[in-house]
Amino acid sequence: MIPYQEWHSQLQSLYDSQIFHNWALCQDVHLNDEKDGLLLRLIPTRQLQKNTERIENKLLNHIELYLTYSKVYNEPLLLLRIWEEKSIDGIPMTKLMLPTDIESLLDVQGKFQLGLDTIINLEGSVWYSFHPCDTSCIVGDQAEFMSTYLRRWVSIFIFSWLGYEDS
Amino acid sequence: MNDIKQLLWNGELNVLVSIDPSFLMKGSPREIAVLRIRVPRETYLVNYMPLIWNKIKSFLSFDPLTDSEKYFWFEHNKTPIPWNYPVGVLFDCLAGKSATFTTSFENQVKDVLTFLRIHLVMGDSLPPTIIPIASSKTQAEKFWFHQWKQVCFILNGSSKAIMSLSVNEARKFWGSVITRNFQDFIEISNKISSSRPRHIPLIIQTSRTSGTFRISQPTISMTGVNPTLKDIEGDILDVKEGINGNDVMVICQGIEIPWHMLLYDLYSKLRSFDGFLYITLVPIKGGDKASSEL
Repeated sequence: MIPYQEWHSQLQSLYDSQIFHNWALCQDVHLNDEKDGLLLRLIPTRQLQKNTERIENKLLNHIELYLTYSKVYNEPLLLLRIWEEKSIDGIPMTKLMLPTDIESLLDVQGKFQLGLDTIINLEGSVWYSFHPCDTSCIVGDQAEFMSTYLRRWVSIFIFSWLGYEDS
Repeated sequence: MNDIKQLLWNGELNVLVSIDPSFLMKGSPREIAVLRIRVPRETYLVNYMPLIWNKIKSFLSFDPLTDSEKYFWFEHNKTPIPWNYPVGVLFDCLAGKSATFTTSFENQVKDVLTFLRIHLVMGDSLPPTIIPIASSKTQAEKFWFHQWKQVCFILNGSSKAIMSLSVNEARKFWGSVITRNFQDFIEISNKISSSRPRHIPLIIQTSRTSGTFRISQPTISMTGVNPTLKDIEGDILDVKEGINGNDVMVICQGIEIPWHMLLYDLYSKLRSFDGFLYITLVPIKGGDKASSEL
Protein backbone atom coordinates (compact mmCIF):
# COMPACT_ATOMS: atom_id res chain seq x y z
CA MET A 1 0.00 0.00 0.00
CA ILE A 2 1.37 3.41 -0.91
CA PRO A 3 -0.27 6.72 0.05
CA TYR A 4 -1.40 8.81 -2.90
CA GLN A 5 1.02 11.71 -2.35
CA GLU A 6 3.96 9.32 -2.04
CA TRP A 7 2.89 7.52 -5.23
CA HIS A 8 2.54 10.84 -7.05
CA SER A 9 6.01 11.95 -6.07
CA GLN A 10 7.57 8.56 -6.96
CA LEU A 11 5.84 8.64 -10.35
CA GLN A 12 7.38 12.02 -11.09
CA SER A 13 10.83 10.71 -10.02
CA LEU A 14 10.43 7.67 -12.22
CA TYR A 15 9.51 9.86 -15.17
CA ASP A 16 12.46 12.17 -14.50
CA SER A 17 14.82 9.18 -14.27
CA GLN A 18 14.29 8.60 -18.06
CA ILE A 19 13.89 4.87 -17.40
CA PHE A 20 10.93 4.74 -19.80
CA HIS A 21 12.47 7.09 -22.36
CA ASN A 22 15.49 4.79 -22.55
CA TRP A 23 13.44 1.60 -22.87
CA ALA A 24 13.93 -0.01 -26.28
CA LEU A 25 10.21 -0.83 -26.60
CA CYS A 26 9.01 2.65 -25.70
CA GLN A 27 7.86 4.90 -28.54
CA ASP A 28 6.25 7.61 -26.45
CA VAL A 29 5.99 8.65 -22.80
CA HIS A 30 3.45 11.16 -21.57
CA LEU A 31 3.01 12.25 -17.97
CA ASN A 32 -0.57 13.37 -17.45
CA ASP A 33 -0.75 15.25 -14.17
CA GLU A 34 -4.42 16.15 -14.54
CA LYS A 35 -5.45 12.54 -14.99
CA ASP A 36 -3.00 11.19 -12.44
CA GLY A 37 -1.15 8.91 -14.77
CA LEU A 38 1.70 8.09 -17.10
CA LEU A 39 0.92 6.86 -20.59
CA LEU A 40 3.38 4.65 -22.45
CA ARG A 41 3.15 3.63 -26.09
CA LEU A 42 5.18 0.52 -26.78
CA ILE A 43 6.12 -1.54 -29.80
CA PRO A 44 5.15 -5.17 -29.26
CA THR A 45 7.80 -7.71 -28.31
CA ARG A 46 8.48 -10.54 -30.76
CA GLN A 47 6.90 -13.03 -28.35
CA LEU A 48 3.75 -10.93 -28.05
CA GLN A 49 3.54 -10.58 -31.81
CA LYS A 50 3.88 -14.36 -32.19
CA ASN A 51 1.21 -15.02 -29.55
CA THR A 52 -1.18 -12.62 -31.27
CA GLU A 53 -0.68 -14.29 -34.63
CA ARG A 54 -1.12 -17.75 -33.10
CA ILE A 55 -4.10 -17.04 -30.82
CA GLU A 56 -5.95 -14.27 -32.63
CA ASN A 57 -4.57 -14.52 -36.15
CA LYS A 58 -3.92 -10.79 -36.08
CA LEU A 59 -0.98 -8.42 -36.33
CA LEU A 60 -0.20 -6.19 -33.35
CA ASN A 61 0.54 -2.53 -34.00
CA HIS A 62 1.28 -1.18 -30.52
CA ILE A 63 0.57 -1.53 -26.82
CA GLU A 64 -0.62 1.22 -24.51
CA LEU A 65 0.13 1.09 -20.80
CA TYR A 66 -1.36 3.56 -18.39
CA LEU A 67 0.23 3.75 -14.95
CA THR A 68 -2.23 5.27 -12.52
CA TYR A 69 -3.40 5.05 -8.91
CA SER A 70 -6.29 3.12 -7.40
CA LYS A 71 -7.95 5.10 -4.64
CA VAL A 72 -9.90 1.97 -3.73
CA TYR A 73 -6.83 -0.14 -3.03
CA ASN A 74 -4.34 2.69 -2.38
CA GLU A 75 -2.02 0.96 -4.81
CA PRO A 76 -0.49 1.68 -8.22
CA LEU A 77 -2.79 0.46 -10.97
CA LEU A 78 -1.67 -0.76 -14.39
CA LEU A 79 -4.06 -0.43 -17.33
CA LEU A 80 -3.43 -1.91 -20.76
CA ARG A 81 -4.82 -1.68 -24.28
CA ILE A 82 -3.52 -3.41 -27.38
CA TRP A 83 -4.03 -2.25 -30.94
CA GLU A 84 -4.01 -4.38 -34.05
CA GLU A 85 -2.84 -3.33 -37.50
CA LYS A 86 -5.43 -3.66 -40.23
CA SER A 87 -5.90 -2.69 -43.77
CA ILE A 88 -9.34 -1.87 -45.09
CA ASP A 89 -9.63 -1.23 -48.83
CA GLY A 90 -5.87 -0.74 -48.88
CA ILE A 91 -5.99 1.91 -46.17
CA PRO A 92 -3.84 1.03 -43.16
CA MET A 93 -5.47 1.58 -39.78
CA THR A 94 -5.23 0.54 -36.16
CA LYS A 95 -8.06 -1.00 -34.19
CA LEU A 96 -8.53 -1.72 -30.50
CA MET A 97 -8.27 -5.44 -29.76
CA LEU A 98 -10.27 -6.99 -26.93
CA PRO A 99 -9.32 -10.68 -26.83
CA THR A 100 -11.18 -12.84 -24.33
CA ASP A 101 -8.07 -14.60 -23.07
CA ILE A 102 -5.73 -11.65 -22.66
CA GLU A 103 -3.64 -13.45 -20.03
CA SER A 104 -2.58 -16.16 -22.52
CA LEU A 105 -1.85 -13.59 -25.17
CA LEU A 106 0.43 -11.66 -22.81
CA ASP A 107 1.80 -14.91 -21.39
CA VAL A 108 1.09 -13.84 -17.80
CA GLN A 109 -1.22 -16.69 -16.76
CA GLY A 110 -0.84 -17.43 -13.06
CA LYS A 111 1.23 -14.27 -12.55
CA PHE A 112 -1.38 -11.55 -12.88
CA GLN A 113 -5.16 -11.39 -13.08
CA LEU A 114 -6.58 -9.08 -15.73
CA GLY A 115 -10.11 -7.96 -16.39
CA LEU A 116 -11.88 -5.53 -18.69
CA ASP A 117 -13.13 -2.47 -16.94
CA THR A 118 -14.44 1.00 -17.70
CA ILE A 119 -12.19 3.62 -16.13
CA ILE A 120 -14.05 6.54 -14.61
CA ASN A 121 -11.04 8.91 -14.66
CA LEU A 122 -10.44 8.24 -18.35
CA GLU A 123 -13.90 9.25 -19.60
CA GLY A 124 -15.23 5.76 -18.94
CA SER A 125 -13.03 4.21 -21.63
CA VAL A 126 -12.46 0.45 -21.67
CA TRP A 127 -9.07 -0.93 -20.54
CA TYR A 128 -7.73 -4.18 -19.23
CA SER A 129 -6.72 -3.63 -15.62
CA PHE A 130 -4.17 -5.68 -13.70
CA HIS A 131 -6.09 -6.44 -10.52
CA PRO A 132 -4.20 -4.65 -7.75
CA CYS A 133 -5.60 -6.35 -4.64
CA ASP A 134 -2.45 -8.45 -3.96
CA THR A 135 0.01 -5.70 -4.86
CA SER A 136 1.52 -5.13 -1.43
CA CYS A 137 2.15 -8.89 -1.02
CA ILE A 138 3.81 -9.03 -4.44
CA VAL A 139 5.85 -5.85 -4.11
CA GLY A 140 6.46 -5.88 -0.34
CA ASP A 141 5.44 -2.84 1.68
CA GLN A 142 7.90 -2.62 4.55
CA ALA A 143 8.20 1.00 5.60
CA GLU A 144 12.02 1.17 5.27
CA PHE A 145 11.78 0.32 1.55
CA MET A 146 8.83 2.64 0.80
CA SER A 147 10.99 5.05 -1.23
CA THR A 148 11.47 2.39 -3.93
CA TYR A 149 7.90 1.02 -3.89
CA LEU A 150 6.90 2.26 -7.34
CA ARG A 151 10.22 1.30 -8.93
CA ARG A 152 9.79 -2.27 -7.62
CA TRP A 153 6.18 -2.29 -8.77
CA VAL A 154 7.24 -1.26 -12.29
CA SER A 155 9.90 -4.00 -12.36
CA ILE A 156 7.33 -6.66 -11.45
CA PHE A 157 4.15 -5.45 -13.14
CA ILE A 158 5.79 -4.24 -16.39
CA PHE A 159 9.39 -5.28 -16.99
CA SER A 160 8.99 -8.84 -15.66
CA TRP A 161 6.81 -9.83 -18.62
CA LEU A 162 7.82 -7.28 -21.29
CA GLY A 163 11.56 -7.33 -20.58
CA TYR A 164 13.81 -4.31 -20.33
CA GLU A 165 16.59 -3.37 -22.68
CA ASP A 166 18.07 0.09 -23.17
CA SER A 167 17.41 1.68 -26.54
CA MET B 1 -33.95 -5.58 7.39
CA ASN B 2 -33.90 -8.82 5.43
CA ASP B 3 -37.55 -8.17 4.47
CA ILE B 4 -36.46 -5.03 2.61
CA LYS B 5 -33.56 -6.89 1.01
CA GLN B 6 -35.86 -9.70 -0.05
CA LEU B 7 -38.28 -7.23 -1.64
CA LEU B 8 -35.41 -5.72 -3.61
CA TRP B 9 -34.09 -9.16 -4.54
CA ASN B 10 -37.51 -10.15 -5.88
CA GLY B 11 -38.00 -6.89 -7.77
CA GLU B 12 -38.31 -7.41 -11.53
CA LEU B 13 -38.58 -5.30 -14.64
CA ASN B 14 -40.27 -5.93 -17.95
CA VAL B 15 -37.58 -5.89 -20.57
CA LEU B 16 -38.21 -5.82 -24.28
CA VAL B 17 -35.15 -6.96 -26.18
CA SER B 18 -35.10 -6.36 -29.90
CA ILE B 19 -32.42 -7.95 -32.02
CA ASP B 20 -30.88 -5.92 -34.80
CA PRO B 21 -31.81 -7.40 -38.21
CA SER B 22 -28.09 -7.64 -39.08
CA PHE B 23 -27.88 -10.68 -36.78
CA LEU B 24 -30.44 -12.62 -38.77
CA MET B 25 -30.64 -14.25 -42.17
CA LYS B 26 -32.89 -12.62 -44.72
CA GLY B 27 -36.43 -13.96 -44.50
CA SER B 28 -36.25 -14.74 -40.77
CA PRO B 29 -39.64 -14.43 -39.06
CA ARG B 30 -40.12 -10.95 -37.59
CA GLU B 31 -41.25 -12.26 -34.21
CA ILE B 32 -37.90 -13.96 -33.71
CA ALA B 33 -36.27 -10.54 -33.37
CA VAL B 34 -38.23 -9.56 -30.27
CA LEU B 35 -38.06 -11.01 -26.79
CA ARG B 36 -40.24 -9.96 -23.86
CA ILE B 37 -38.73 -11.09 -20.58
CA ARG B 38 -39.05 -10.31 -16.88
CA VAL B 39 -35.63 -9.61 -15.48
CA PRO B 40 -34.68 -9.15 -11.81
CA ARG B 41 -33.39 -5.66 -11.01
CA GLU B 42 -30.51 -7.40 -9.26
CA THR B 43 -28.75 -9.10 -12.14
CA TYR B 44 -26.86 -8.23 -15.34
CA LEU B 45 -28.50 -8.01 -18.76
CA VAL B 46 -25.68 -10.13 -20.14
CA ASN B 47 -26.88 -13.09 -18.04
CA TYR B 48 -29.73 -13.34 -20.56
CA MET B 49 -27.43 -13.75 -23.55
CA PRO B 50 -27.66 -17.59 -23.54
CA LEU B 51 -31.47 -17.24 -23.72
CA ILE B 52 -31.18 -14.70 -26.54
CA TRP B 53 -28.64 -16.73 -28.54
CA ASN B 54 -30.76 -19.82 -28.05
CA LYS B 55 -33.85 -18.10 -29.40
CA ILE B 56 -32.18 -16.81 -32.54
CA LYS B 57 -29.54 -19.50 -33.17
CA SER B 58 -31.41 -21.12 -36.04
CA PHE B 59 -31.69 -17.79 -37.85
CA LEU B 60 -28.25 -16.28 -37.22
CA SER B 61 -26.38 -15.04 -40.26
CA PHE B 62 -23.01 -15.87 -38.62
CA ASP B 63 -21.56 -17.78 -35.67
CA PRO B 64 -21.23 -15.37 -32.73
CA LEU B 65 -19.05 -17.80 -30.79
CA THR B 66 -16.28 -17.92 -33.39
CA ASP B 67 -16.50 -14.57 -35.17
CA SER B 68 -13.83 -12.47 -33.45
CA GLU B 69 -14.30 -9.56 -35.88
CA LYS B 70 -17.71 -8.63 -34.52
CA TYR B 71 -18.57 -6.94 -31.23
CA PHE B 72 -21.97 -6.99 -29.54
CA TRP B 73 -23.57 -4.52 -27.16
CA PHE B 74 -26.93 -3.19 -25.99
CA GLU B 75 -28.45 0.17 -26.86
CA HIS B 76 -31.40 2.15 -25.63
CA ASN B 77 -32.73 4.78 -28.05
CA LYS B 78 -29.53 4.36 -30.09
CA THR B 79 -27.37 5.14 -27.05
CA PRO B 80 -25.02 2.32 -25.97
CA ILE B 81 -25.79 1.02 -22.48
CA PRO B 82 -23.28 -0.90 -20.38
CA TRP B 83 -24.13 -4.44 -19.30
CA ASN B 84 -21.83 -4.24 -16.30
CA TYR B 85 -24.29 -2.34 -14.11
CA PRO B 86 -27.26 -3.98 -12.36
CA VAL B 87 -30.37 -3.92 -14.53
CA GLY B 88 -32.26 -1.88 -11.92
CA VAL B 89 -29.51 0.73 -11.88
CA LEU B 90 -29.66 1.07 -15.66
CA PHE B 91 -33.41 1.44 -15.45
CA ASP B 92 -33.22 4.12 -12.73
CA CYS B 93 -30.88 6.17 -14.89
CA LEU B 94 -32.84 5.74 -18.10
CA ALA B 95 -36.17 6.29 -16.31
CA GLY B 96 -35.30 9.99 -16.04
CA LYS B 97 -36.75 10.12 -19.52
CA SER B 98 -39.64 7.82 -18.66
CA ALA B 99 -41.72 8.75 -21.69
CA THR B 100 -39.36 6.71 -23.81
CA PHE B 101 -40.32 3.54 -21.97
CA THR B 102 -43.96 3.45 -22.90
CA THR B 103 -45.66 3.02 -26.21
CA SER B 104 -48.47 5.31 -27.24
CA PHE B 105 -50.90 2.42 -26.82
CA GLU B 106 -49.66 1.66 -23.36
CA ASN B 107 -50.04 5.30 -22.42
CA GLN B 108 -53.73 5.00 -23.13
CA VAL B 109 -54.40 2.22 -20.65
CA LYS B 110 -54.93 2.99 -16.99
CA ASP B 111 -52.19 0.78 -15.55
CA VAL B 112 -49.28 1.71 -17.72
CA LEU B 113 -47.06 -1.25 -18.37
CA THR B 114 -43.50 -0.04 -18.35
CA PHE B 115 -40.85 -1.70 -20.44
CA LEU B 116 -37.13 -1.22 -20.45
CA ARG B 117 -36.53 -1.32 -24.20
CA ILE B 118 -33.12 -2.46 -25.28
CA HIS B 119 -31.69 -3.25 -28.65
CA LEU B 120 -28.95 -5.80 -29.24
CA VAL B 121 -26.60 -4.52 -31.92
CA MET B 122 -23.23 -5.40 -33.39
CA GLY B 123 -20.38 -3.69 -35.18
CA ASP B 124 -16.77 -4.00 -36.26
CA SER B 125 -15.68 -1.64 -33.50
CA LEU B 126 -17.10 -0.76 -30.13
CA PRO B 127 -18.41 2.42 -28.56
CA PRO B 128 -15.47 3.56 -26.40
CA THR B 129 -17.15 3.13 -23.02
CA ILE B 130 -18.67 -0.30 -23.58
CA ILE B 131 -17.27 -3.65 -22.50
CA PRO B 132 -18.17 -6.02 -25.32
CA ILE B 133 -20.50 -8.94 -24.68
CA ALA B 134 -18.23 -11.97 -24.89
CA SER B 135 -19.12 -15.53 -25.82
CA SER B 136 -17.53 -16.68 -22.56
CA LYS B 137 -20.06 -17.91 -20.02
CA THR B 138 -17.89 -16.69 -17.16
CA GLN B 139 -17.60 -13.07 -18.30
CA ALA B 140 -20.27 -11.72 -15.95
CA GLU B 141 -19.19 -13.92 -13.03
CA LYS B 142 -15.56 -12.75 -13.26
CA PHE B 143 -16.56 -9.11 -13.50
CA TRP B 144 -19.01 -9.42 -10.59
CA PHE B 145 -16.46 -11.17 -8.36
CA HIS B 146 -13.97 -8.42 -9.11
CA GLN B 147 -16.62 -5.88 -8.02
CA TRP B 148 -17.06 -7.74 -4.74
CA LYS B 149 -13.27 -7.75 -4.21
CA GLN B 150 -13.33 -3.96 -4.49
CA VAL B 151 -16.33 -3.77 -2.17
CA CYS B 152 -14.59 -5.98 0.38
CA PHE B 153 -11.51 -3.76 0.23
CA ILE B 154 -13.52 -0.55 0.55
CA LEU B 155 -15.50 -1.87 3.52
CA ASN B 156 -12.76 -3.67 5.41
CA GLY B 157 -9.43 -2.31 4.15
CA SER B 158 -8.42 -5.72 2.84
CA SER B 159 -9.70 -8.44 0.51
CA LYS B 160 -9.22 -11.09 3.19
CA ALA B 161 -12.93 -11.74 3.80
CA ILE B 162 -13.68 -12.50 0.15
CA MET B 163 -10.42 -14.31 -0.50
CA SER B 164 -11.20 -16.57 2.48
CA LEU B 165 -14.32 -17.92 0.80
CA SER B 166 -13.93 -21.56 -0.18
CA VAL B 167 -14.28 -22.54 -3.85
CA ASN B 168 -17.69 -24.00 -3.02
CA GLU B 169 -18.81 -20.81 -1.29
CA ALA B 170 -17.63 -18.67 -4.22
CA ARG B 171 -19.57 -20.91 -6.61
CA LYS B 172 -22.62 -20.83 -4.36
CA PHE B 173 -22.40 -17.02 -4.21
CA TRP B 174 -22.58 -16.55 -7.99
CA GLY B 175 -25.01 -19.48 -8.21
CA SER B 176 -27.37 -17.60 -5.90
CA VAL B 177 -27.54 -14.76 -8.45
CA ILE B 178 -28.31 -17.11 -11.30
CA THR B 179 -30.79 -19.33 -9.45
CA ARG B 180 -32.23 -16.37 -7.46
CA ASN B 181 -31.50 -18.03 -4.12
CA PHE B 182 -31.88 -15.19 -1.62
CA GLN B 183 -30.83 -17.16 1.47
CA ASP B 184 -27.54 -18.26 -0.10
CA PHE B 185 -26.85 -14.74 -1.31
CA ILE B 186 -27.42 -13.20 2.14
CA GLU B 187 -25.43 -15.92 3.88
CA ILE B 188 -22.31 -15.33 1.80
CA SER B 189 -22.57 -11.58 1.29
CA ASN B 190 -22.81 -11.20 5.09
CA LYS B 191 -19.40 -12.87 5.40
CA ILE B 192 -17.90 -10.09 3.29
CA SER B 193 -19.83 -7.21 4.84
CA SER B 194 -18.90 -5.24 7.91
CA SER B 195 -21.08 -3.66 10.59
CA ARG B 196 -18.36 -1.01 11.08
CA PRO B 197 -17.16 -0.22 7.56
CA ARG B 198 -14.13 1.99 6.91
CA HIS B 199 -15.70 3.41 3.76
CA ILE B 200 -18.95 2.94 1.84
CA PRO B 201 -18.77 1.49 -1.70
CA LEU B 202 -20.74 4.14 -3.52
CA ILE B 203 -21.30 4.85 -7.20
CA ILE B 204 -23.14 7.96 -8.37
CA GLN B 205 -24.65 8.11 -11.82
CA THR B 206 -26.22 11.05 -13.51
CA SER B 207 -28.08 10.90 -16.79
CA ARG B 208 -27.41 13.69 -19.24
CA THR B 209 -29.67 14.97 -21.96
CA SER B 210 -27.16 13.62 -24.50
CA GLY B 211 -28.18 10.15 -23.29
CA THR B 212 -24.79 9.45 -21.75
CA PHE B 213 -24.15 8.61 -18.10
CA ARG B 214 -21.77 10.50 -15.90
CA ILE B 215 -20.32 8.16 -13.31
CA SER B 216 -18.38 9.02 -10.16
CA GLN B 217 -17.10 6.90 -7.31
CA PRO B 218 -16.43 9.12 -4.28
CA THR B 219 -14.54 7.82 -1.26
CA ILE B 220 -16.73 8.33 1.80
CA SER B 221 -14.97 7.70 5.09
CA MET B 222 -17.06 6.20 7.89
CA THR B 223 -14.37 6.26 10.56
CA GLY B 224 -16.00 7.75 13.66
CA VAL B 225 -18.87 9.28 11.71
CA ASN B 226 -22.29 8.27 10.43
CA PRO B 227 -23.16 10.92 7.83
CA THR B 228 -26.50 11.61 6.20
CA LEU B 229 -26.70 12.12 2.44
CA LYS B 230 -26.95 15.86 3.14
CA ASP B 231 -23.63 15.73 5.01
CA ILE B 232 -21.91 14.31 1.92
CA GLU B 233 -23.85 16.39 -0.61
CA GLY B 234 -20.60 17.82 -1.97
CA ASP B 235 -19.32 14.31 -2.75
CA ILE B 236 -22.58 13.26 -4.38
CA LEU B 237 -23.15 16.31 -6.56
CA ASP B 238 -20.72 17.46 -9.19
CA VAL B 239 -19.97 21.02 -8.14
CA LYS B 240 -18.01 21.58 -11.35
CA GLU B 241 -21.24 21.19 -13.30
CA GLY B 242 -23.00 23.65 -11.00
CA ILE B 243 -25.63 21.16 -9.80
CA ASN B 244 -27.16 21.69 -6.38
CA GLY B 245 -29.37 19.46 -4.28
CA ASN B 246 -32.55 21.34 -5.19
CA ASP B 247 -32.15 20.43 -8.86
CA VAL B 248 -32.08 16.66 -8.49
CA MET B 249 -33.92 13.75 -6.93
CA VAL B 250 -31.83 11.07 -5.28
CA ILE B 251 -32.99 7.68 -6.53
CA CYS B 252 -31.81 4.36 -5.20
CA GLN B 253 -33.35 1.00 -6.15
CA GLY B 254 -36.13 2.89 -7.91
CA ILE B 255 -37.06 4.76 -4.70
CA GLU B 256 -36.76 8.49 -4.04
CA ILE B 257 -34.46 8.91 -1.04
CA PRO B 258 -34.67 11.89 1.36
CA TRP B 259 -31.43 13.82 1.93
CA HIS B 260 -31.63 13.27 5.70
CA MET B 261 -31.24 9.47 5.30
CA LEU B 262 -28.15 8.01 7.00
CA LEU B 263 -25.67 6.70 4.46
CA TYR B 264 -24.93 3.49 6.35
CA ASP B 265 -28.65 2.69 6.72
CA LEU B 266 -29.10 3.28 3.03
CA TYR B 267 -26.12 1.06 2.21
CA SER B 268 -27.15 -1.80 4.44
CA LYS B 269 -30.73 -1.83 3.14
CA LEU B 270 -30.45 -0.85 -0.50
CA ARG B 271 -27.06 -1.94 -1.79
CA SER B 272 -27.01 -3.81 -5.08
CA PHE B 273 -26.12 -7.43 -5.73
CA ASP B 274 -22.52 -6.46 -6.61
CA GLY B 275 -22.06 -4.89 -3.16
CA PHE B 276 -22.10 -1.26 -4.33
CA LEU B 277 -24.68 1.33 -3.36
CA TYR B 278 -25.83 3.05 -6.56
CA ILE B 279 -27.32 6.51 -6.33
CA THR B 280 -28.93 7.94 -9.42
CA LEU B 281 -29.42 11.68 -9.69
CA VAL B 282 -32.52 12.45 -11.67
CA PRO B 283 -33.18 16.05 -12.73
CA ILE B 284 -36.29 17.58 -11.20
CA LYS B 285 -38.41 18.97 -13.98
CA GLY B 286 -38.28 22.76 -13.81
CA GLY B 287 -35.15 22.73 -11.60
CA ASP B 288 -32.85 25.69 -12.25
CA LYS B 289 -29.96 23.69 -13.65
CA ALA B 290 -31.64 20.39 -14.27
CA SER B 291 -33.08 21.07 -17.66
CA SER B 292 -30.09 22.87 -19.10
CA GLU B 293 -27.11 21.00 -17.74
CA LEU B 294 -27.97 17.41 -16.92
